[in-house]
Amino acid sequence: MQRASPRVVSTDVVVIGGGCAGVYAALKVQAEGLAVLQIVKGFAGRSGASIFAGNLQLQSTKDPAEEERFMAIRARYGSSYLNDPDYIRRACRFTEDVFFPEMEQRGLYLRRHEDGQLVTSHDRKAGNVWAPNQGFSGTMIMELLRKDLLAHRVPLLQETMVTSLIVRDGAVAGVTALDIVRGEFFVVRAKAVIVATGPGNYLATRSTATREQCGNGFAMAWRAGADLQDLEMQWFHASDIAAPKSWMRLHLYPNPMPVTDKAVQLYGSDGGMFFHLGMNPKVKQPYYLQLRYLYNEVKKGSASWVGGFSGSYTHIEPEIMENYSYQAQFFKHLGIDITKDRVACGITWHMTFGGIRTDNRTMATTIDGLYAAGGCGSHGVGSITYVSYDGTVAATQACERARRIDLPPLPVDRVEDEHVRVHDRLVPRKERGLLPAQVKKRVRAIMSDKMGYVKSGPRMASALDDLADVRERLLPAMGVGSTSRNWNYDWVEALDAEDMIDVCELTIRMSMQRKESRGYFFREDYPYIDNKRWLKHTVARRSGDGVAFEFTEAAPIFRPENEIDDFLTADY
Amino acid sequence: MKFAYYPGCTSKGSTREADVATKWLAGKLGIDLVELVDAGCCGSCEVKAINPTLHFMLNARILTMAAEQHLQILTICDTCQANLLHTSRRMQEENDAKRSLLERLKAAGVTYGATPRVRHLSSVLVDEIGVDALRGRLLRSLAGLRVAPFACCHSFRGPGATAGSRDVLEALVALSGATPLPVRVDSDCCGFHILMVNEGLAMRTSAKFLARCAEAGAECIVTTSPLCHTALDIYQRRTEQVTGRTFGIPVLHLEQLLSLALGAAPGEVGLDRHMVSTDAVVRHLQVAA
Amino acid sequence: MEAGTLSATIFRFDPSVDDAPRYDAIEVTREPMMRVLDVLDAAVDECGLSIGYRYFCGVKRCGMCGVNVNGKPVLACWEAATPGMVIEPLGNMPVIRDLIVDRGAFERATIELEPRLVRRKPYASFPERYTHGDVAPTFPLMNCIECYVCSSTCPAVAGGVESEGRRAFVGPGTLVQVAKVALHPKDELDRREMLEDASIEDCMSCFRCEQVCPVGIPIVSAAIMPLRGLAASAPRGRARFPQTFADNVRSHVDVHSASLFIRAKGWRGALASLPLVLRMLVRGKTRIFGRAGTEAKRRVDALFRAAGS
Repeated sequence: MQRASPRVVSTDVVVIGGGCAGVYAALKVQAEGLAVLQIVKGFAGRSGASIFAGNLQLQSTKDPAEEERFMAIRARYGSSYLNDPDYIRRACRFTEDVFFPEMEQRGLYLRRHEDGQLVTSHDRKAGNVWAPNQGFSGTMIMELLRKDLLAHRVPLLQETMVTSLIVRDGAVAGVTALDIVRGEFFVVRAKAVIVATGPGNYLATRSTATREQCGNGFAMAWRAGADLQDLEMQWFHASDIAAPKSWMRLHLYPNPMPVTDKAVQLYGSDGGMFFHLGMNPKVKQPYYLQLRYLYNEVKKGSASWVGGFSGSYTHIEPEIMENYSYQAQFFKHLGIDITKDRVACGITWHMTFGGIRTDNRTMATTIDGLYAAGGCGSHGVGSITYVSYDGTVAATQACERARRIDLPPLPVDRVEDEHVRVHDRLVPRKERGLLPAQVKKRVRAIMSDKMGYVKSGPRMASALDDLADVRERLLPAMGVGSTSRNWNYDWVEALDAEDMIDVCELTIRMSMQRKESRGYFFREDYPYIDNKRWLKHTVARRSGDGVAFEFTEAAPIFRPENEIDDFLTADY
Repeated sequence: MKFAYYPGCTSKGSTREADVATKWLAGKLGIDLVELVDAGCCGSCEVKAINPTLHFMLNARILTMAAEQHLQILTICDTCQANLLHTSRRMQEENDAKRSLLERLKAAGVTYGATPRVRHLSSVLVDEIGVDALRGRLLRSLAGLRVAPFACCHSFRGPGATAGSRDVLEALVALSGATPLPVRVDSDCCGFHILMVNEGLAMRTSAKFLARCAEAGAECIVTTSPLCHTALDIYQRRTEQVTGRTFGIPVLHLEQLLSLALGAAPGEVGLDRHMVSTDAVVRHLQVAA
Repeated sequence: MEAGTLSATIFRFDPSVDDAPRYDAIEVTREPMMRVLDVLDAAVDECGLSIGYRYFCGVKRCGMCGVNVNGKPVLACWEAATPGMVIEPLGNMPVIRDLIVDRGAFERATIELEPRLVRRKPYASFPERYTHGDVAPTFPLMNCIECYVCSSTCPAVAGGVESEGRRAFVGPGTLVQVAKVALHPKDELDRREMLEDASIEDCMSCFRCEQVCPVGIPIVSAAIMPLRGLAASAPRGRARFPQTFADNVRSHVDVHSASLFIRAKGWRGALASLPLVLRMLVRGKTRIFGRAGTEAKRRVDALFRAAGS
């Protein structure tokens, strides 16, 4: 196919992603006086995980004892001892000192009572607040950030997919990208690249990620030679709505609702309640419990992972849902009376705790000049407020680098290889070939079936076989419905399919390495938390054509009491 | 049947034929209309932009004038109807906003008591007399007349809307023997409220509906609001000039259409007052079967 | 059509390769509580059609899945799927491909009208002193997700043209975004001239935007009316009409259309409409003098004063 040479542009720093981390990074680079180009696969502030942030945590960091207590809780219940409490401390301080004041200054309205008191959940220690109502906070934050971004005229490309990170001699030299609207492949030279593609990954049939989040950030970093870490630490939601399918991200919150100490209650198909907040008052992380108790229900036949159990808010005062919740209208719209009815639920694959291996002090990855900010990093963020810290730090580091070095030359052959790879995907289907969207669906089905909440060695090995089959049999026959370059989403999805297979395979391999259970990661063949051998991070590194694994110690600041804990009865 | 009659500013001025026809129709049907004298303007869509409190107060005073006589209000303009209805709903809530309104009304010398029911003529005809009863009283038929009913936006949208108002209009048109045509789409508007600030835009907007009427072979348009009537009749020639199209479609007030069917002579209901000739409609009148 | 399936028709058009639009008929497996978005997903998966459609969140937060279903503008994720439905792109925006439209004009208009909070007094510290009542005017607007479903069906947007330095009406979606900050207690930007630039007086008060808003925002009452009032307080300009009208009612009790006409359009504008006015006079459709008595005027004036006008 005759191809013109791709257009090349230059900048100091490329920011990939348009969520809270990416926007904070882009604004910071611009404020520092350097040239930035932000590239978003969707739309800044409208796609990605940030728009879903439901609860915001207002945590005061001024009292050292209180701070210590909070970090201990986060370590045990937020990450099962895999996070770095020092990172949490820094991110919390940034949240309190910078994020909330800046956002309020922009006009973020944290819901108040008539008397001016902040609306929080009953247990004020949890510090949940909402802007302006529960379920909408992330959307509102991103709206304000997006407007700032656009008003500051930050150079921004939307509906543009970065397809690869260009690396030369172990250092970043830029990115290649595909303009989805015009179907144009082009190159951006840069001195630093910040990946902020988010933690959510639509890699299973039911996922909380947005449509376009297909693990592209992880795949690109991997292909470029960066280490990835803890991808196996996949979070799940237990109580998301079962139908309509497209509403699978509608979350019935196990966290206390505004003004109360009540949260969703879960019922099996036999009508028995198997989860409510009071069941284990010690636990500050209800999500783990929901899943473990759901496992018991599935075992006894009164639930399945994708249905057969239900959630209810019938015990919560109707005014609370009406006045404080964005979700209430959804149930009403379906004709569900949440004061009386139960809502059919299913689990969803939520974000990954791990990601591109980062130094959480600098957001630097194992490639010079490549930074990972927010949920795509390996430091297990899980909060929109923390990623603003990530973005700011990454931007500061990137700017420092950009001031120091010259623009690296482009490795022309690598760029040409990528040019070919991308254009090889703009081909029509072969006979009986599938559309990329159909291939993606099959990848997701494999992950749903064999990489669900309950894992085992044989099932994971089988998943790898299934993915190999997709790669060998379906990918070559896969093609687009039309070779038009005008907003061709088939083309995007063809690139997604490759990325997804890469990321899924790696995730499975890393899961097979971890011979224990922890947090959301449950192996039926290793149903215990092994704090003696596995208070570690799983690191994956490219090694020739294969993968090498390394295991690094988790931060030693907080430690669980027991060496071994039974996973299903543990509270963390 | 007795009602406090609130014709609205326009029907006392540029569309007086609507008032004339309403009175003829009421007389024929035994509806006693007690006109609310010096009731003043309902505020249209302008006062509420300047001062929402004032808007509700102007309307509350009109409600009081009817309530004092223990009468329901009958309107012939959908914007008046919407404003009065919205206000009546407000005044039946129990909250600080309503209490504040009551205080201000008092300060202005208006003692607000009960809230009267507010209904458009078309609702009164259908609910109090009934389509069948009306059909039974037809002296003339408009069978074969292709009519495009045009319900005012305010009759079915917004906080003063009445459910089913479009169906009511269509039923009343149909009972006269005429054929109601489904030419109106929901994004149509006659553009009345911007006639004085952006005439061109108003004309281009009403032209969309008029064009659809022309394509469907509509021989007459029927309105329930003198404001829509103004935009579609008085300004029809301007619309033709601005858009370069020819329409020439007569526009009748609903009360005129029904009066004709109940035996009124064209002159008795102001058909000579229209800007677009209504001769085509008159020619269509036949003796009822 | 078998039981357990749902049929629909979808607008297809790729201007880069197609001469004209066409409609594809599809039949997909019916799912419980199916949304239009589920049907689009199924059209790709089950029917192998490469339909161009946008969505990100599926749960009414991203605002990007707007389409027309049976002529009604909706969000595909919110609207229930119905048998035989016709799915088309939103109106008032150029079609990029199939159901994808270019929202650029509305998004640009929103940014140009400074939709950010503009403080003059310095921000003190977090948390600010607010009660819920302080933000009551903006609270109904907060859930606007800029889906522009409203602007896609607004007749003032549809018929708007730019002429003589006067831009076309920006549309209700943009005005909700402006109202979010204009009605915020801490906003201190004088937005009156900006609102006139937005041609705010072009709103016909038809409530179509309110009718279609998927989030149920009372757009006219809560956003456009207050902004029109704000713009009308400017000393001169096209947006003064609501004030001119109110003054007319205060003086005449019933609207005196002749004097309203002249004040609104100016003598030149009124003279330009002379043929129309003369025809109206001839047919007895207008009178020159007002007719309200002094008592009525006094009562109405009392209402104005008690309302704080």
